[in-house]
Amino acid sequence: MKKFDATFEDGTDGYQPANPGKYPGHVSGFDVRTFDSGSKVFNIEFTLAEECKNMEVHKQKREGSMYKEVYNGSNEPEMISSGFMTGKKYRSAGVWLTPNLPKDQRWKNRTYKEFFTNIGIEFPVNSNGVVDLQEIEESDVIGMPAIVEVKPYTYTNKDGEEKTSLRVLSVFPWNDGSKKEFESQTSAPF
Amino acid sequence: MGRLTIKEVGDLTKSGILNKKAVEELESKGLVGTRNRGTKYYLKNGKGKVYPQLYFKGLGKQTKPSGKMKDFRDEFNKLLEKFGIKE
Repeated sequence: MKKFDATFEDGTDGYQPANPGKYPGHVSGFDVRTFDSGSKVFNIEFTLAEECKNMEVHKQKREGSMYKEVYNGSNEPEMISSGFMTGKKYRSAGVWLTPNLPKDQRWKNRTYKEFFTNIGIEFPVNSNGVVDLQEIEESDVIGMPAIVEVKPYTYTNKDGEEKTSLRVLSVFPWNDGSKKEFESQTSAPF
Repeated sequence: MGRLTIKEVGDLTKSGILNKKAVEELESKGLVGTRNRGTKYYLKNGKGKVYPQLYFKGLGKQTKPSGKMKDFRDEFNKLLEKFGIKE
């Protein structure tokens, strides 16, 4: 062996898996699918912000498809810096927008309204004081700041297997956050 | 859409991610919990840990707990300290 300028310490330099929690982030990707019924499902991607470096979170370890909080020898929560979460990308669970709902089923669009309002979108309110939901486009949200809740999400894939991955399941306003520039995914590649 | 706990808002404020104005806005939109989550207590049932819970059925987001309900919770917390094991 030759001498090389690098070290590795098992206790501190091991792999740290992603940690569920609430983190600041920015919208970095946008995808929408339209169904024959006219319903649309939005999948929004978030990139966790630099500010994660200022935070400490309760360490969690993955056991199979479950995440368990880690406690130290004195039964105190084991806290870790969440700097390693910076730059990680997470997609939201699908957010549905359904057109022409009868009055008693309008609640079905509640998640859509809350999700995008919390990102900072202001929907117009009509003369009757009712919110006019409009279809969000990529340029409306890309780069917008939000506090996102990253949680395990279990789903069944095309082969019928149950899978668990981390997804953004809730978003909250991050009024102190500033909009970030991201390259549009739909822009021409030239 | 869920809510942030008081502790989470405190941690985000301490980290400089939220300022006072942002917290007030979150609170005004009902996106912050209204009570602190204290120490967890559990009982053993021979197989593992069992966590006693107090739940007021019918207390929605739009309603606030009454004084009697708060007293009830305080008494419940005393019972947890008496019978439960601190986690």
